[in-house]
Amino acid sequence: MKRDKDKEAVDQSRRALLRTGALFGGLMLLGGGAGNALATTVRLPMANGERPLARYPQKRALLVLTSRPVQLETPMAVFNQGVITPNDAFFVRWHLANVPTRIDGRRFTIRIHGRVKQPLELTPAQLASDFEPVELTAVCQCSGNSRGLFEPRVAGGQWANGAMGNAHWKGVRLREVLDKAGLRADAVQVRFNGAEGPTLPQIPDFMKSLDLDMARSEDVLIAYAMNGAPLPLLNGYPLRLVVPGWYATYWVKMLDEIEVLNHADQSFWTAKAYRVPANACGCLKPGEKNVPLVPISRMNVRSFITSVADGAQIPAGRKLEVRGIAFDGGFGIKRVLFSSDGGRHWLEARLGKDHGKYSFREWQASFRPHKGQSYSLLALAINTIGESQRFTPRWNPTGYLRNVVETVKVSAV
Amino acid sequence: MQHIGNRLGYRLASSIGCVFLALPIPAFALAFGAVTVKLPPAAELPGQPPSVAQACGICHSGDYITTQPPLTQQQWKSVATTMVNRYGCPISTQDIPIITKWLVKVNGKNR
Repeated sequence: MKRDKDKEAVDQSRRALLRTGALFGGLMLLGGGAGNALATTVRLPMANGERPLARYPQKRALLVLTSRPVQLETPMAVFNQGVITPNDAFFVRWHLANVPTRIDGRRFTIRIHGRVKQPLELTPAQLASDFEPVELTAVCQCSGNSRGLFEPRVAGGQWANGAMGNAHWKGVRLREVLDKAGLRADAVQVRFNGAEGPTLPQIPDFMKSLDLDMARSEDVLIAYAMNGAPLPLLNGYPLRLVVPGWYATYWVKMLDEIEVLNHADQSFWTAKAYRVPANACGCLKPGEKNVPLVPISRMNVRSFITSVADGAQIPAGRKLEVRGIAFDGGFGIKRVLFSSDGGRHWLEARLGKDHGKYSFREWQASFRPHKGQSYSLLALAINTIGESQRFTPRWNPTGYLRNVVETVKVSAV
Repeated sequence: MQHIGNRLGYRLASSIGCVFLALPIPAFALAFGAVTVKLPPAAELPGQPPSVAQACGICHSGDYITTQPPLTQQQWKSVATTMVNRYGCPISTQDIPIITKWLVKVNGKNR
């Protein structure tokens, strides 16, 4: 019974998705909206893929991956509504169980210390008033986005493709804050810590470090606003590091401590976790051992079809507009190719407005489906330095770096 | 957006004073308020967890276990060992087989 109800809910959301695709720009009905009122769970395309659809504070109904630490996935339909992911739909991923549920932004401070000449302690308001404001649009994507689609399956947070979002960030340049504190000559790395903490002393605190060159690069921000509003608490209110082009593991939330180090950080989350095979592919074979690892860093190129869902029925006999998004690790999207026949023939998609090299880039393409036919829809993005998506999925035991060309199967009726 | 802003307590800083109120409000004139959230309850540990499994709940809810793919006995043992050796789970290594047996029962895969 339950299974049937779930299936019905998913089918219903598929129909809603299709309608929106056909109307092109109509309002998408999400979980929590009328079109999905019956759905309390959604079934992601993986074993044990049932996810409750639930509202968390400052959030619309999202897919609950885990309730502690809170991990919420954005339904793919959201990405068809616009190039910017709304704050209340933005995915959530915490690492540790001890996340403050109350933050007083007036008393919150960020401390800059370590190998600096003048340690600083600043409130969000001081940051916002004492440094030049900088704004940019950037994709924040979990390193393990799409981990649940790995085959063979790997342990870890079992995301489908919704552990990503694109927001307009406003903040101050990290390097200006570091310069105000004054770096000592022996500084080599900068370590970031947030108010999220472990529940026992032996549990490693969540901290991430960047090499000094990266920390001092133009676009790394301490953000205090997201899409023109303060960050939702679950996205790191009141301050979050923004490292455009790099995976979200570096985008430390509730950022309250910046420590300048004179050595390579040996703490757990930088030195031992979030590491990928040190080869061009970032992959290995299941069971392969003793492969050298390096910290994960820049995102690879990806694209998604957002206007039609896998398994949808599409109207035959007239042109169907297909649209989606593409992004990369900060070089910018140059081309998106679209295929309606499983990759035998490709056509150039039209790119939407350019919101900057770190942003989602919308694209559109069209084809004319014939009644009774099935179609495998593919999108392939290429960035400005010629990197493109893979046709065969890479595998690694941590479920990082997926960027295979995804297939959306539809049938025309 | 305005609604969200108000709810979050993002509002004019009292420090800007009357002098500036007639001017267009610059972005930095926004202040940061107190935000309190109440989270929905954590999902319970699945099945009939042995008493030592209460240690799992110190760091994560039961859905972290039930959303994993079904894993073999060897894979679950490896996960439990990782939790102890890497993530500081406060159980004795002697308890790993007990935890593993329970995990296989609630979400195991026969190879």
